Amino acid sequence: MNSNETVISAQGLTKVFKDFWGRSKARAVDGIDFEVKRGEVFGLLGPNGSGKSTTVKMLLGLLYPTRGRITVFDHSPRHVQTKARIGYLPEESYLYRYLNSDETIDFFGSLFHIDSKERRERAEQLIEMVGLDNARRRHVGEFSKGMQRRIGLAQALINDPDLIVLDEPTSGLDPIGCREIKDLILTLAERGKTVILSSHLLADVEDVCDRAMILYGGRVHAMGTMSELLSNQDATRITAPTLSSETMDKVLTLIREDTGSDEVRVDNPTQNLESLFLNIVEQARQKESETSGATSGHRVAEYLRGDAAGERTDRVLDHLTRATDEQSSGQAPEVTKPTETVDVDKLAGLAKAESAPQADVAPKKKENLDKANEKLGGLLGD
Amino acid sequence: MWPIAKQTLKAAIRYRLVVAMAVALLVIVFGIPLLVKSDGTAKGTVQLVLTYTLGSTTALLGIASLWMGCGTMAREIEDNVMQMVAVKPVARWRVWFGKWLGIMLLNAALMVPTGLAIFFLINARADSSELNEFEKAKLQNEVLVSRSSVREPKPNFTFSRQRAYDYSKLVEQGKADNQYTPAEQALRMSVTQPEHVLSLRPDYTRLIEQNENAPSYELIQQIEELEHQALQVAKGSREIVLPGQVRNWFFQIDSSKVDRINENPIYLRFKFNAGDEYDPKSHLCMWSVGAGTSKRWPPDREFNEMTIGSSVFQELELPAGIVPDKGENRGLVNVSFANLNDKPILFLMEDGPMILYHDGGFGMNLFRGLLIIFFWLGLISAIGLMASSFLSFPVATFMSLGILLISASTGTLEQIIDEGGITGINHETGKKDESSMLDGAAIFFASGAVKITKSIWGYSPVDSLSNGRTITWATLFWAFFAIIVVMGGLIMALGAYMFHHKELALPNPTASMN
Repeated sequence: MNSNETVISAQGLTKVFKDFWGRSKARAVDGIDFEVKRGEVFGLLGPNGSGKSTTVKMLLGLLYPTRGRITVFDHSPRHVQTKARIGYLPEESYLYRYLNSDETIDFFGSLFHIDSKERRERAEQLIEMVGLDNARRRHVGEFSKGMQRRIGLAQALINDPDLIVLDEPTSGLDPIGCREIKDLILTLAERGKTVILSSHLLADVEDVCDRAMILYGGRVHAMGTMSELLSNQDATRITAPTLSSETMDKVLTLIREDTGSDEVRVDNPTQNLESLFLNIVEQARQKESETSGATSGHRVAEYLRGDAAGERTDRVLDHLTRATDEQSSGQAPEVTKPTETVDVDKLAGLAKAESAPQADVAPKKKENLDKANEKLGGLLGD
Repeated sequence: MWPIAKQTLKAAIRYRLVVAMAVALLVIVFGIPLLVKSDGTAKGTVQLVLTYTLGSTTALLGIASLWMGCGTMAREIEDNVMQMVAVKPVARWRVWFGKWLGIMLLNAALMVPTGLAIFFLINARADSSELNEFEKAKLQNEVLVSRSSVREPKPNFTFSRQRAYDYSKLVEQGKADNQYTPAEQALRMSVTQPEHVLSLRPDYTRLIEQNENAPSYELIQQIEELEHQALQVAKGSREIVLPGQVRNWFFQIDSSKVDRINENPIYLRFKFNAGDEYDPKSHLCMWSVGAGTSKRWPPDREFNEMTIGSSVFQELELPAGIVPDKGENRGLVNVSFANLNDKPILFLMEDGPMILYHDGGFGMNLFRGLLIIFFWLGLISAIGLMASSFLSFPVATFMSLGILLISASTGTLEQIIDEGGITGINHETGKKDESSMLDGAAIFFASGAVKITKSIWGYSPVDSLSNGRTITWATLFWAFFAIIVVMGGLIMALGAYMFHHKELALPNPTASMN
């Protein structure tokens, strides 16, 4: 398995929609170039009408380029055998409304020529994974949008694909579902799967993508790794346990002296809404567990975990539990939005100068950093 | 493609199309016999019931096939469900064919019980205690049976202008029989009836020679008119029985079947016209069979006299054992007709007469007939699928209906062929004065369309079944070949090609585009 293998390659990709008389109606994609390597989680970011879905559909062979070239696993997207390596979750539920969950998974599995025993086993695991155990006999047409996304995701994974194309995967999902999907993406990436994530939800892309391409008006306006795209070289963030006003004054004085600027702000870090929500739901779940809708997913399907079995494989639910445990313990919450503008070197010097006790918060900080490192390491393919 | 086929069938079941169709077919099979008003005879009633039930079943399943063909593909494309299938490792042509197969599975699922219900219902009616033995026997021998037919060999009415000219010149020479060269003798032996008739027209050779020396359009027209008349005379001589004339037909039955055929009555089926072709009045008909042999009918007199109506098919029962079974005439049935009316009697060649003989059971014949209907349904669903491969549901339905209507009405096309084109018809003569390239193209198109149409709809299983006529395995094979392999294959190839090249995710006016 070569992590440098190019999974998707597009050169000068252009799509012009024409009317019945062949007159150009809209230039949806305009000469874009990009490559996606094996194991990458690649984000397609852009507002509505920017060409994300059109690009996705060209790489799936559902639309044909007007100009340019796109290959998937070195073949045309229309190459039948290549499709066996692709899983696709469209932006809407394009499923047979009269089939139930089992039948839906079984039908799409049969198109991959998976034998019936294997199909049943996979369907069992997938339906459990997406939390539709309680609704497996209900017709897809009766599902809520979120449930339809879940069954759509399950069908996209029935073939244990090497390339997973997810178009707005969290659209219509509750925060638990969103979190599960993002964790699933990370698990798949860890197994060397390539994931294309098309979304206009910036947080989705930021949380899971290694690289992203930002489209506007069918053109690429930015492309690179997330750190390249997001890092702000003109500012520094410091996160520390609660400081006494004395210490704070010293630090601020030192920083102001050094930078000669008053652009130093201090506030309390806030917990993000996703974490807060998950915390509350988890507490509620522990009290009463009955629901007629989708439940939160369970273990990632065994055949999808593959070599990544172990700590990471249980992440889907464990992640929620861990977050809950961490945050309900009353310890310092994560800081999610950098607002300070502090120089790192200066801070290091400050830390040496000060010897404030930090023993009670250090393990938590280390855990957060380890987690972030693990996540970024996985995403960057290290 | 089986998963696609099963999926298509499942859709029909889940959307309750199957239930609706089953109820409709039940109403047809069990309701029509209650509504039919026949001539009062058991045979007439059963014939009408067969005709209406099979005809209605064909129409209903045909509409369902068209609807399914258009709907299953177009709807899935419009609802984007097809995108989910198209991104899976299944070739588009397999998806297309899977859809067709699914519709055919549905048709089979509906046709099998319908066919069985018709079979048992008709047999129950034939065994009814309300019928006397004569009526039962008539039903069993004339309707609930599979009868093959034998016709006279079709005469050769072709002719070539050169041969007709050479033969006419030969006749003009007035040679004795022993004076002909081998080549001339060969020409005499191979001359066709229209060529012979032309030899009786001395102006024919003169016109041809004049045209060779100084070609003109008028001369060509005169020559063609003579040839047309000769053809009509030749046909007329085979079809028209003038007052006081006797006409003989010779039917050669396969000698290996004679003994078995002689175990049952055979039937002389005929239709005639008298005076006005559409005059349905009664006329005196005098028939005899096997004149001059020991196997003759009627046994006690020369001719059997009957007064029967014209313009409708009649069947004359001939006793078992009537077919000569010895010597060189084994299997050769000689039928004579004497016209003692005061007007000519016309037996059109396409209407017979013909000999019908028992050749099998009704059940197997019904099976073959239903298979031909099944082939039609296959073609109809293929047309629907083809149209919906590149058109929206309503437009595809409209187009498919249009194709079916045009293919089922060949009258206009045949008129184009008869009139020799589509432009500049002389309304006094009913013919064209001069042909153009457009006329040539129109005739070419019309001839092709008529041939195609006849090769598809030329089979008449319902008519054959209600008349107890055998639908042979050969007929079935050719029906399959013409309807499914040739026409169906063309349409399937076209549909699969369209579908293969279709961009399934093209935005439509009601969809948003990201």
